[in-house]
Amino acid sequence: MACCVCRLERQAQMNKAIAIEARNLSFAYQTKINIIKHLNLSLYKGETVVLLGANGGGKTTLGKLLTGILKPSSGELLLFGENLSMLPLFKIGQKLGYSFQNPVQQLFTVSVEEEIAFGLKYRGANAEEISRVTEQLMKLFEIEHLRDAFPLNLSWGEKRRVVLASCLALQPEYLILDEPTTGLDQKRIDILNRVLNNLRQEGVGMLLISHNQSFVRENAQRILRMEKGAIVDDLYL
Amino acid sequence: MTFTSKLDPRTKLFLIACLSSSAVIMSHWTFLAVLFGISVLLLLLFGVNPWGMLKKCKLLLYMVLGIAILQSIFMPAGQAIITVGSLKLLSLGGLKMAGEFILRMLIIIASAGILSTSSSREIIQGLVQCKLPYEVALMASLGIRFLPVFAEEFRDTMIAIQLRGVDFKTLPFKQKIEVMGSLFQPVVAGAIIKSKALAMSIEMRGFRASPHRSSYLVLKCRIRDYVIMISCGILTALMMFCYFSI
Repeated sequence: MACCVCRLERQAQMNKAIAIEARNLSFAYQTKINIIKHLNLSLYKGETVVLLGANGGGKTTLGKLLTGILKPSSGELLLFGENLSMLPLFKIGQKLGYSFQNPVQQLFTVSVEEEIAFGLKYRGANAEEISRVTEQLMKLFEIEHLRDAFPLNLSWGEKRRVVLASCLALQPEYLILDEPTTGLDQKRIDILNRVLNNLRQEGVGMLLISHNQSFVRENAQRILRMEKGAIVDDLYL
Repeated sequence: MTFTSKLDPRTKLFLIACLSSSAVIMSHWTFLAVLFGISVLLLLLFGVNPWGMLKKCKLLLYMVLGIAILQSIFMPAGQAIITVGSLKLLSLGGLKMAGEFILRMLIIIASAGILSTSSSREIIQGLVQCKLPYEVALMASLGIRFLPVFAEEFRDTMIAIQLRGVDFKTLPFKQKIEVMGSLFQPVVAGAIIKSKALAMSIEMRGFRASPHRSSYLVLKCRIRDYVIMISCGILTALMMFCYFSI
């Protein structure tokens, strides 16, 4: 009976539109050793997937492949049906939000406010919209008092909140967050849980790479476990 | 490991000092071409693939090429090749100067390639045994260590900007300049923050705690090192003599 329910749920997932699809995906760095090995994976719109696995198992590499930062050695990657390898990064960035494992790599402006407003500003949003979205996100992540602070001088947790706010400002259709809870205290993790829950209800799909058990329990609808570059478990909850 | 890469780092430092100083002093394309030929030969002897090295320095080479083109346009001399009205847009002298500049830069890049066959620790020790204060030698090596870090930060920022959905190519000129400013911001600020952290970290490990510093690694020049250094010195002096005689 349980298996039957599982199958039905799986079928329901299959009927959802695919956001990202990997077909026979492999990737090797310069060492020529495959970090990702012949991986097949479908990630659906509106679904929250948590990617688990030991350090060095290929989780971050997979995240970078799915965002087009790394190019696969072989295989195919589709983002909303388009060949991801053919898309320039800015096109990917218009559909997909990505938070690096290390937030420092994503901070490049002179103030927190500018950091959050950056994407909107250069994508042609009007001043009123930029101000509204920026204020809303700064309030949500409790970083209003840091609006004029230089992002690279902030604490790790504050940097993480700024990066998350900058990602969400662009209202992506799909989110990939690499270890989003690192450096956050429980209060801020609870805020992040609420934000992700709201996004889920709005139909935004997400892939969360995390080692935080309570965060995984709170958000996961599907759990993928990765070992040595391959998905060894794919579990729908 | 090739015979040449086993050489004492001081021999390599001497070789590249001869090569790069000659490249800076000489401003005649024939001499520079000979020097460039010697650099490529040395790279091969040291087991460095010159083509692979060029590929690694692609971005720098584009910059060198860009500067060379600008130089040939803005410093017209000799017979005009392309003119617009009375303005010499491209001249034979300008082209020659650009060629010399490219050769000079390639020789300096090749010199860096020779140095890369020793580890940074060996180079520091080489400089220390040349009586350079350890602090200065370490700072010089740290400076070299920071170069790939800068390149990586520059790349990361470029990726981060694009992942915010910004198409750099279609931006108006003013906004392009603003975004370019954003590219240098984290590199400069990151370098300052990293240097502070690094300084603190090395001092916490006892750096400069004592005026004398012992070293496990002690370099020893062998006969082959002296032979190479003397030959290189004579060859450089001969080339300089020929250059200043003509």
